[in-house]
Order: sequence, then C-alpha cells, then structure tokens
Amino acid sequence: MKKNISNLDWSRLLLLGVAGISALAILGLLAMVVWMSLRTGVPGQPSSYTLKNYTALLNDPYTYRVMVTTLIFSAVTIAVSVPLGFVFAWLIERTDLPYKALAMSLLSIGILFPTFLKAMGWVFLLHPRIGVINIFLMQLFGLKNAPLNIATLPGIGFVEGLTLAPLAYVMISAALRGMNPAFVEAASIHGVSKWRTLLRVELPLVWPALVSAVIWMLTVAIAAFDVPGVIGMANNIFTFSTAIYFMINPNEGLPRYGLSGAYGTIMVGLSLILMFPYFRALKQSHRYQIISGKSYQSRPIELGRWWLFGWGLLGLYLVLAFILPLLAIFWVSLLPYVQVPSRQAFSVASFERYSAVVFDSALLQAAWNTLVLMVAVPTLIVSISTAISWVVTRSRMRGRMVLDAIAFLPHPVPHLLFALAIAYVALLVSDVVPLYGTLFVLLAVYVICWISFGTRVLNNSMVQVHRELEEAAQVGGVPTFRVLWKVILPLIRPGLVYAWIWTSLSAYRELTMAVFLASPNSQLLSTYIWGQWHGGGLGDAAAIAVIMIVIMSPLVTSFWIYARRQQHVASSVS
Amino acid sequence: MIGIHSLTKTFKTATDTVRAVDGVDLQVKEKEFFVLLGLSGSGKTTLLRCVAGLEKPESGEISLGEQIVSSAERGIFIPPEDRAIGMVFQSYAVWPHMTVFQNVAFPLTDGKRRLPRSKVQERVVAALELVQLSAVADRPVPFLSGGQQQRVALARALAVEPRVLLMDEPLSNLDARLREEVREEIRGLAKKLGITVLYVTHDQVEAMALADRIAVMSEGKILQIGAPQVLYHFPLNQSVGEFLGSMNEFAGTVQNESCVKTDLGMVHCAVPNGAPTEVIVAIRPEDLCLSCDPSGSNNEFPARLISQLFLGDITVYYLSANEKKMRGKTTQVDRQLKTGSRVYVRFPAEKLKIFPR
Ligand SMILES: Nc1ncnc2c1ncn2[C@@H]1O[C@H](COP(=O)(O)OP(=O)(O)OP(=O)(O)O)[C@@H](O)[C@H]1O
Ligand SMILES: [Mg+2]
Repeated sequence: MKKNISNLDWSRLLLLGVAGISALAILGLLAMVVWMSLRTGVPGQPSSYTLKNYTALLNDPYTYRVMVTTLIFSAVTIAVSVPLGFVFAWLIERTDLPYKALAMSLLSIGILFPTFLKAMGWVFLLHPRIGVINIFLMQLFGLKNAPLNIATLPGIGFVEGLTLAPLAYVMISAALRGMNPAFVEAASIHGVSKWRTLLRVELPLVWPALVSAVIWMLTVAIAAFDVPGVIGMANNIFTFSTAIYFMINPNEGLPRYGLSGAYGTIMVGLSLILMFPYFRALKQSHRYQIISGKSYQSRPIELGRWWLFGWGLLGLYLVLAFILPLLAIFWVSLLPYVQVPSRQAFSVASFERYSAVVFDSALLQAAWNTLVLMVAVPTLIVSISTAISWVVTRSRMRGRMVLDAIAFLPHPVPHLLFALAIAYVALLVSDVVPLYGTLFVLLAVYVICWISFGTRVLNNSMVQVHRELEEAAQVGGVPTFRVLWKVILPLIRPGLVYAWIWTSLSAYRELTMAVFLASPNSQLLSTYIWGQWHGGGLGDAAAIAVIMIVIMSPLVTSFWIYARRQQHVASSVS
Repeated sequence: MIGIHSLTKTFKTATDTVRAVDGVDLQVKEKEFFVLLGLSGSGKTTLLRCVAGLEKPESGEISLGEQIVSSAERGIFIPPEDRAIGMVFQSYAVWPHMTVFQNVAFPLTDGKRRLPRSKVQERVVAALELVQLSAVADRPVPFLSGGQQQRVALARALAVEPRVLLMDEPLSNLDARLREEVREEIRGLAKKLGITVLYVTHDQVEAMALADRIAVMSEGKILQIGAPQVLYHFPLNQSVGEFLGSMNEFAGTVQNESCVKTDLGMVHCAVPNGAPTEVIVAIRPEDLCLSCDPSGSNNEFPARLISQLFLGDITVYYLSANEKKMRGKTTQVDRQLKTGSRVYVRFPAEKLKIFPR
C-alpha cells in the first residue's frame, strides 16, 4: 500500500509558499527596524551592535519634545474626529435624517481624499503669512499680525481630526448598526424616554466601540505623516513620523539610520501595545452585537426640525474638510502669487500654470509611475491576500491563526517604518542589486503594508462561502486549485474587486511611504507635489493637486457606485 | 461495500476534547440503504465525513469496496477527490454562481474522473431526467425552490456514478409534506440504480421509511444495528427503544424468569437470561389494550382515563394507574371509554420489553 501524498499537492504548496513568504517579509522588515536601531553609521558599513542610539535618544531633550508634541497632536486629533464620527454615525444609523445615503457616501468617499492636499489647502487658508483668510482679516481690520495660525500644534491636530472623522464614523456606525435594537426598544416599551435611553442604554452599549475607535485613532495619529509633514515640518513642529523623516532627510549631514531605527522601534512597540486594549474593547463591543440572522431596523428617531441642525453640522464639516481647502488650492493655482480674492486678483487669475505644468516631462514620468503602481500593487495584493486568506479560512493548517495575526501586523504598525526598513535593506544590498530608489521598492512596500487590508476583506468574503460548497466540489473529484479558481473565487468576486479598487486608489493618494523611497527616477504624483511644496513652488504644487483631484473624482465616484451595487448582489447570493 | 473498523475521531476545542466518533465498527452491504440515526451531536455527520475523506480519523480503518481509503495505523489517507463517491450535503451546497446544468456538469468536466464533452452532456441530461429537473437545466440555482435545489444536489451526486452515495440530513431543510415526497423519490432512485447509500438523519420516522438497516448512534458509539422492525420491536436497550418511538416505562424487580414486581403490581413476562434484578419494564403505547370491564387475564391493571386526544387517524389516551402516568394509542375508538372513568389496561406479555436499569 503506497502512502498517498496528493494531500500535499502542488497547488497547496504554492498557496502556502506565497502566504509564508509574505509573512516572512512582514516580520523581516519589522526585525530590520530593530536591527538598524542597534547599529551606527551608514548602512552597509561595518558596525558593532550597540545601544548607543538608545542612550542618545534618551539623553536628548528633543526626544521628549517630540513625544509631547505627538501626544498633544493625537489628543487634539481624537477630540475632533471621534465626537464628529459619533454624531454622524448616530444621525445616519439612528435617526430619520433625510438624504442619509448621500451623507453616508460623502463621508465614506472622504476617507480616500488625499490627506496631504487637504493639509495644503489649510495652509493656503490659515497660514500666518500666505493664508487667504488671514490676509483677508488683516486687511479688513487693519491688523498687524495674523489672527489665526494653522501651523501650530492645535492647528495640525484640527486638520488631522477633520481627516480622520470619516474613519471614526465608519467604525462607530458599524457598532451602532450591529447593536441589537431590541435593547433600545425594550427601554422605550418600559417607558424610558428617548434621550434617557440614548444616555443610559445606547451610550453604555456603544461605549466599548467608542473606546476601540479612540485607541485606533490614537495609533493612526501617531503614525500620521501627511499633515505634520505638510504643515508642521516647515514650522519646526515634529511628531514621531516627521522626526524620523527628518533624520533620514536632514538639511545637512548624513542620514541617521541608527537613531531613526530607535525611534521606529519605540513606535512599533507602542502600536503593538495599543492593540491589547483595542482588541479587548472590540471583543466587549461584539458581545453586544446581534450574533446572527438578519439585523432588523428599529424605528428611527424622528428629528423633526432638528434635521436642519443635523445637515447643518454635516454641511459645515464638508465645507471645512473638503470644499474650503479645495477652493483654496484651486484659487492659488490660478495666481502668480497668493492673494485674497479681489477684482485685481481676478484680473490676473489664469490657467497659465496648468499649461506649463502638464507638459513637464518629469510630471509625465511621475504620472506614469503612479499608474504602474495603481495596476501592479492591487493585482499583487489581491493575489497574495487570496493565498493568505485561503490558508487562514479554508485550510486546517496548524498555525494558520498566527499567519493571520502576522498579516494583520502592518495595519497598526506605522507604514513609514516599513518604508524605512525597506529603504535600509535596499541600501544594504545596493552593491549587489541596485534596488535603492527604484519603483520596485515602492511596489514592494505598498504591497506588504496593504496585505493587511486585502486579507481583512478577503477573510470576510471567504468565511461567508459555506464550507460545504467547497467540499461538494472536493467530493466530486475536483482538485484544490480548481476548487479555488472555479468555486471560491467566483463567489467572492465582489470582495476581490472591492479590495483591488480600494488599494489601487490608495496607491494613487499615498504619500507617506512614497516620500521615504522615491528618488528622482521613481517620482509619483504625490511625491512630485511634495517636492514642489517643499521646494517653494506652491503654485505649481497647487495646480498639480487640482489635476490629481480632477482625475480622481470620477474614479472614486464610479468605485462607490460599484461598491454599493455589489453589496446588494453579495447579500442576495449568500 | 463500506467497511468501518474501530474508527475514532476526536476534536480538540479550546476547553476540552470531544470524541465525536468513538470506536465505531460497521459494515454496509452492496446496494444497501443504510441509515445512521442519532440525537444531535451524536457524531453521525463526523462519521459520514470520515467516510467521505473530509475528516481524517485518528485511528481505525475505512474501506470502500476492496480499497482501503483511510487507515491511520498504516498511514493511508485517500483525499475526497480520489474516493469516487457522491455526497448530498445538508445545505445542498449547490454552487450559486452556476446554472443547474453547470452544477451537475462541474465534477464531470473539472474533476479527477473527467469525461469527454459529448459524454458529459449525456450524463447530465440523464441525471436531470432522473430527478425531473430537465425543464430548468439552464436556470441559475439561486432561482430554484428549496426542493429543486435539493434535487440538483442529488443529481450532481448521482451524475458521477458513484460507488457509494453519502447523504447528510438532505431533507431537513424541506417542509414536512415535501419531505415525505422526496423521501419516497430518494429510496426509489437508490433502489432503481442499485447504489449503496449511507444516510444520516435524526428523524426516526425518516430512518424507518428509508432504511434497509439502521445504526443508532449516541455519543460517538453505535448502540445497535438492525432492520427497522428489529430495532423497533426488539431494542437492545432503553435508549434505542426510546429513540425509535415513545414507551411507557416502569421500574421493577425481577422475581423469577417470568415475573417482575413493579409499582403497578406483578407483571408476567419472559425475562431474558442474564438480566439483572433491577430492570425497566417497557411497552409501547399502541401495544396497550384498554377496556371498560376487566377480562381477568394476566397483566391487567385498573386505571383512570385522565384525558383523550383525537388526532384523526389515531386517538391517544392519557391514563393513570397507581399514581403512574401512561399513554395509550389506538386506531379504534371505543365510545364507551369516558374521560375520568375507571378502565382496565392490559399488557400483552409478548409486547413487553425488559431493559437493565
Ligand atoms: N469541526 C469540529 N470542531 C470541534 N468539534 C466538532 C467539530 N465537528 C463536530 N464537533 C463535535 O463533535 C460532536 C459530534 O458532532 P456531529 O456534527 O458529528 O454530530 P451530529 O450527530 O451530526 O449532530 P447533528 O444531528 O446536530 O448534525 C459534537 O459534540 C460536535 O460539537
Ligand atoms: Mg450533523
């Protein structure tokens, strides 16, 4: 009797291999952050292991300033984003607010809006020297100094908070939607008033979800780069992320990889430690959720005339978060230099910059590079995530939950650290393989960081495919790979398409990882704008930003329409 | 055709280990319709999945025909795709992105036992003919009713011409009337095609209606194997007896080989050899004889008729004798029996069952 080994057939081996290599890459890059913190000098130079970087870090008052800055920045961010997110979630999930679908769409799409453009817009609005609103107020009241300043710690926290409010909304509304309406109805049936129910029943029940949202916002704020990078850095306000960037790209002297590694190690530790309370709160909040079956809608709270107030708030938010900054960017892009709207300003406004900018070969190259990433990154992510999610949800491999945890790691850990690590690796091997500064390293780091997103989406899709659908094919004699290809993948197609488009659009708007890795040969649209911005070409930066948004808008809109339609299809299939 | 030898399968959960299948021995004959019957969680599905190759047992052996498909001791494990079986799942597991035709054809076009294109067409048409679904062949399966989906699953399992057909509660998602109808169809088809069937259910009526033989399972073990009539009339123990239908039970003490003392009084019956002193005397409701007047024969006890329930084809009597509650069942209505009146119950000695207590 010969031993049967078709259990370990090639397709399984391939799936396991892809999943395993990706997991190793994630762990390897994290280990690289720690490793570089233990060395000094230029990458590739011989160095002994040392704790010098840590002692330098601990003895430098600058470190503590960065820490406090990061903390205050995060606190302001949370104070702005979570209350906004909660109010929006409550309005949309629990009340009879009119045009809910529109509100929901605008907020969800808001997540994809490039953050660094928003930050640029706010500089054009409220910078003490060039901010249009400031100039306007000074002219109006004859002030000597600018009354408002966005280039302060509360200022950048405010802008980051506006940016993250849609994310907070998504997290909290998921909790509100999943909450069993019977809890609330039981209170009202027994004679408890609406407001009292909100305070005494609903709020305590969503409390864990709020806590988890707060912790998540904290990790995002600590990792945030766009806003502190665009507004803070030029004004000497440094958070962890921008401090690390500045160590690698100093105004003078050599990049200090060792020290940045030490900072990075602290950030990795911090983000991982924060995951403990995060998952505890999340578990607690799941306990209050409907376990199974169709969730039914409770009767929405009637807002009456208050709906105006609800939309007023939403409108104000949309104006502050999108419309004003966009208008400011557009305005600046039309002018030779920044000035307040006036008859004189309108007379010199023109599209001249645009014609100059679009035919710049460097910009065209950057656009091409961006396009390449927008196709290659999502394709790789979807393929790799399929392999990982298959192992995690479909196989019975021992250790598959460990694989899942590793694939999740890049979610909480700041992405710039992965970029930092891969830059370091590229430098180490630069004599053997000239990787440093190529588009390839950008591709690699995007893929590694967003596998966590891809696997979240695909895990979710795959567990919804009934196990027996797969087993029926197996019993029918169909080999593993064909089962995956012909049964599972067609059934999770909405999830695949969703993950593909989302990561493609993310590649379009990404700045953080790109600024660490882009070289003159591998510029992207985002890094090109970043370069113009810090090189003093504010007007050109604004013009390219406008072009970026004009290209992105139809993409995002069609994606959103698709996603909404697919959701209906998906729910009718399962 | 199916041979199972001291098969054991355990599951480890976070808190403990469950012996889902615990040393099962079982032989299913060629062309036999064999039913696994047991309460929820008794391990029927697990046993079936072991035969399919969807679970890997820790110990024991499974053979299909001449071939050993699974033997933990000898390190043999043939994966499901190589076992040449058909299976109907509880959820039907028809692929929602395919039409009826594609569902049935998929194992034939993409499976290990691939057929030439012309042959596939022929097979699928025949299989759909068999389950009377030819009319909807090109419809996507989400647009079928539950009963139709169930038959797609059956056609798909039959189309591969399996040596063995496995079914896991295939009727549990259908409503009562449809269930009865499909039950007849399945039995008819299996007999017509002459295939060996291993069928799992927790419904004893379904089991008796379908089976050539039944194995009653409990906590991973097999309690008794036999033809439906044998299990019903001669259960080896109380559990099996109760599982196949309700019984009136009385605790008793054996006096001699033909006499048991119970709360009701002396009961005369044949006490099997080797029965312990402490026993349960049991009788099925339909075996009770009721009358208004005593007949003077053995095993007759006075009782009070508490209530009667008319169910159309049968009438159920609720009785109380010496503080003991009893249930009787009859198809003949005796108009003289009045609720609240005194009646006489008789236990025919040949219908009494004796179990160890
Ligand atoms: N994958 C699994 N992991 C852990 N325990 C399992 C698993 N599958 C089954 N069990 C356990 O094994 C035991 C037998 O389960 P099984 O599904 O075989 O029962 P069953 O007789 O088919 O029940 P039902 O009639 O409810 O379908 C149960 O206690 C069950 O909890
Ligand atoms: Mg079962």
